[in-house]
Amino acid sequence: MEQTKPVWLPHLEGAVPLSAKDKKISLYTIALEGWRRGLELTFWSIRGDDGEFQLRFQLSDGRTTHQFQGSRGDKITDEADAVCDDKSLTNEALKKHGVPVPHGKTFSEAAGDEEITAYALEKGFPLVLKPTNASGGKGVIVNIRDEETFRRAVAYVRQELNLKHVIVEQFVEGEECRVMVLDGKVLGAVQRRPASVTGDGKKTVARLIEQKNEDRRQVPHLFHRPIKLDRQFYNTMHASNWTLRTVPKAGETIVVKRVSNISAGGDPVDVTDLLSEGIKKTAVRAAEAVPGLPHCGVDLMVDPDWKEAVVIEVNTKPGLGSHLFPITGRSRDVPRALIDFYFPETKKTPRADDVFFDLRTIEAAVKAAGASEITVAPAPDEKPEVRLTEGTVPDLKQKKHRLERFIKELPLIGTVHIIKNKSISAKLAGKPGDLERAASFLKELFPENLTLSAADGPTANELTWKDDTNPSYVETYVERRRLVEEWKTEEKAAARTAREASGFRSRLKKRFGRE
Amino acid sequence: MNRSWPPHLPEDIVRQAEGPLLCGYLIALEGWRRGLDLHFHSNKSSLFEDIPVWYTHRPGRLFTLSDGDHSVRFFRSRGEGTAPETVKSGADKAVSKTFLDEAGVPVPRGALIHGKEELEKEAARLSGPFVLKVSKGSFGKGVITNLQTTPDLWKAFEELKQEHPGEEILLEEHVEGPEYRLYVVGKNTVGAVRRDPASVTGDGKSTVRALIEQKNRQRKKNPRLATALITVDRALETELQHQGLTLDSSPPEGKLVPLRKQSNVSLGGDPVDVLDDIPEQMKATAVRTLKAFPDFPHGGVDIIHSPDRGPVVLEVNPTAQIALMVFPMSGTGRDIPKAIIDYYFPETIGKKRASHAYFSLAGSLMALETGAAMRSRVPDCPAETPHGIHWILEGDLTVTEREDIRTKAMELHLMGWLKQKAPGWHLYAAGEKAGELGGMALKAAGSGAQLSTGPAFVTPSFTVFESREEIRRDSRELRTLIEKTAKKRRRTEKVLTALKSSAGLPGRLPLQLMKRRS
Repeated sequence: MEQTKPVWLPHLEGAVPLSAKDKKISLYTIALEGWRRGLELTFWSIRGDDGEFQLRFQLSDGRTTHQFQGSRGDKITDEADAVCDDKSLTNEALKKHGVPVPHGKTFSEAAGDEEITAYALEKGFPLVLKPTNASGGKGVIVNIRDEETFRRAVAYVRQELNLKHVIVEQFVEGEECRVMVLDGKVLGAVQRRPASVTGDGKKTVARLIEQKNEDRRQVPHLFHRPIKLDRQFYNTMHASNWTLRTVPKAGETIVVKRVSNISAGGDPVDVTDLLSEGIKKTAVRAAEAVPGLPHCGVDLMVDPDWKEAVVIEVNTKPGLGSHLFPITGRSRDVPRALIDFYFPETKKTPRADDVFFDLRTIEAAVKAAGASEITVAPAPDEKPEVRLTEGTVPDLKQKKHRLERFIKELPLIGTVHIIKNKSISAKLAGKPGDLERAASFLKELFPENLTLSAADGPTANELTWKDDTNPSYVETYVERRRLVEEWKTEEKAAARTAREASGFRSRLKKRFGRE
Repeated sequence: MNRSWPPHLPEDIVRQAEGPLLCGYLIALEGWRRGLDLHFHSNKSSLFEDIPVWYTHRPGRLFTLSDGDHSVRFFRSRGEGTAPETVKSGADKAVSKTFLDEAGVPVPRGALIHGKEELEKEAARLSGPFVLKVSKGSFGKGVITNLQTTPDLWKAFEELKQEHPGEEILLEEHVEGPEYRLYVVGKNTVGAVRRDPASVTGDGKSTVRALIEQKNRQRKKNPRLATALITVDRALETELQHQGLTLDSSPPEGKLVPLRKQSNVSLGGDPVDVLDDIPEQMKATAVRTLKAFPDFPHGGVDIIHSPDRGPVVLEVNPTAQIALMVFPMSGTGRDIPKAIIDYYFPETIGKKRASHAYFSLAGSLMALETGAAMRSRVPDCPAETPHGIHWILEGDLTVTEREDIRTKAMELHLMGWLKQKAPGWHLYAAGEKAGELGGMALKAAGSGAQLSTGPAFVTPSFTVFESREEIRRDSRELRTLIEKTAKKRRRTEKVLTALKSSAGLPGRLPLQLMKRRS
């Protein structure tokens, strides 16, 4: 596989805070684009199925307001959403509009398993079985090649998962690819490639995966999605006669999982330039086939020559992470196109690319049910300059409150870290005049042992005040929330490992006992 | 001491907002409970540009209440009905006096002093004892009382000049009599406290020092006074000296020992409710005082009741503390927040107040605290708070169990709370499926009992009460837990990896495995 370095958007480098990396890339990057153009950004909350509060947002220029849910904006009608939510309705709309779809048939709840199987036999294998309204690939079973497997699949989806409404479709050989369409144009296309590592002739598979996972942490939407050594992984390795100790040859790429989901360690790859005119037209026509759908993600099955495609699915809120941060290829600025579309009069508005906002306190307040709507502080009118300050101050304890008030009233943004009431380490940003005022205040307050230097890079538009001997409520609270999330993730991972270990042991024991 | 505070403002709730946030919280809560929209704002908001505000680098002082048609901005206890010029005039005692004089409101006689000659001339014209004060001082600072002779006056003048350079200094005749703080809303005086200077009462045994500590313990139980304790300083010791006492003297039983001259609550003074006891004339004077200023619909008036002159107005306070009247040291707590909301939103008078609902202040201010947000809306007040069940859980709950309870409560859409209070954890849940949550909590805690059913104070959602210290303790606990779990997982993974990577080699591994299992 080609390993050329991807080209990402410079204005998003270092501008996606940790708080946005967990499944909030689309929401965050669209909100950021609007906010940087000076639109008023307000987050609000709704209660999800689990009863917890979830973030939604709206952007407003004072006259028009548009609401978003992930990458779905309010120009997408509820009717369009309903059609896209139900695969049988989507297929119907696509067929009516002459968009190529895999041949197949929908079965309602009333249909018997026998009736479905009879259709399958008549149609001939290979086939795909999928529920009409499940999301995230749940219950989608591809490449079914015989009757027995088909019967098992039907039982699994309709009984075990209790998803009675299903589609049986011909299985089309080819590659899956997702195309982002807006207002009759293709913005970008991405493909997911199954998790893989490339050898250097020296490192073991275990070490290569470790390295790859480190690389993935540099990719915003892959931060929380490492290649996990789960059952999928071992099955794939076993089938290929590899182990973790195998040392692949230099340049040899080995695929370590069969499924290509990003969450399973798959790589997002930008394939926009591979699309033929015909494929682009199919994607655009698919979006047009559903009334009230000005933008969407179209899932295609592309033939091996990349000439033609059939439409598998249409998504009203596709994830933008892979378009923005592909592992190879070039970023496609989907958030920019979306804001251009929703707020055309801001197309030429200068963008405050040197600042971003952090979601951590906003999300914490919403989750704690402390706030139902939060309007983000506007970006500063001019590019903030950045200064670093460091020093040791003997009577810092007496002076820190005056310093806090001075900095917050200017106001400056950045981070101030007070360590053991002895030393201070700060990154401050703001208007040059305000920074000058802060500098002379600092010099007056701390005449000795204080250095100031200029710095660069985007800054979060807030002041984080970290005082280790007297931490503020908000920092304490946010940190604990983060730890609770970390603990939940760790506990899940530990339980999975334990389950797998005991399963493996009992299987071995069984085999060993029989032999 | 006899006191009764408004039952809809229990300590647990108002304690969230100690110190300078308390008055604002009380007003915000009153409006919110009547169904008004409540937003808090940071100092990055441009909404308050035309209103005099201060110390807004910490959020909680700026908020708006709105009924959809009109929105009212508040800075602490002051609503936007008060004109900015009135705020400025109110902060300057000399300017205030001019307004009051013109309106015929009695004030202490006096004059601004700029030099020695003027001082001598005015002292001769007026009659002592005198008071010298900085015209723009507040919190009892920059005031020197009980001055008799011209040399004393000159010394005090020089002292004030040095401590408050560039400030105007006011000479006034001392008016003898008890000091009162009245609160006026519109045409009515809705609260009045007598402010007694900080004092202790002897019991024949304890030292003054011990009596102060005792008094402070009592003050800590009062939401307003908890942050206004009596501090031992030079002025206090000097005052004792004048009475021939030291901190180690033991005053006789029943003996009242005044500790300061100034009656300010912030200096340890005691607010005593006297609304039903003061003469109508004093109330009328307070109402007239506000009328003397342009646009001054509600605010505080400091009055001395002089035996010769009757009520004499000392100063006005457009951003007055109202909490001392809601939570007086003795007497009846007056519902000042109600009067203020009645004034700004008359259409909500008589509307049902959701007296059992309240909101978390820390949660509402969280995103404003770092300046990430400029406006934060408090979740709407529930019109009805259903009756719930209260459990006492005797066993302990770990941080993870508490988190599980919170998650479950959210999932079940319950209102309520979990808090630690001897003898254990208390759980309150209101909603259809409250029983389910109780069952889960009882199981986690190991033991416990259902205490009662009925109404309780609740937020619109489910809250786990925690102090900063508790949260920090949780964080430490969580870090240890995560490390332990991760360590165990890594160990299991290692075994599994070893097993799997050599699974192709028959014989050896399964044997090892059998050993491990047995």
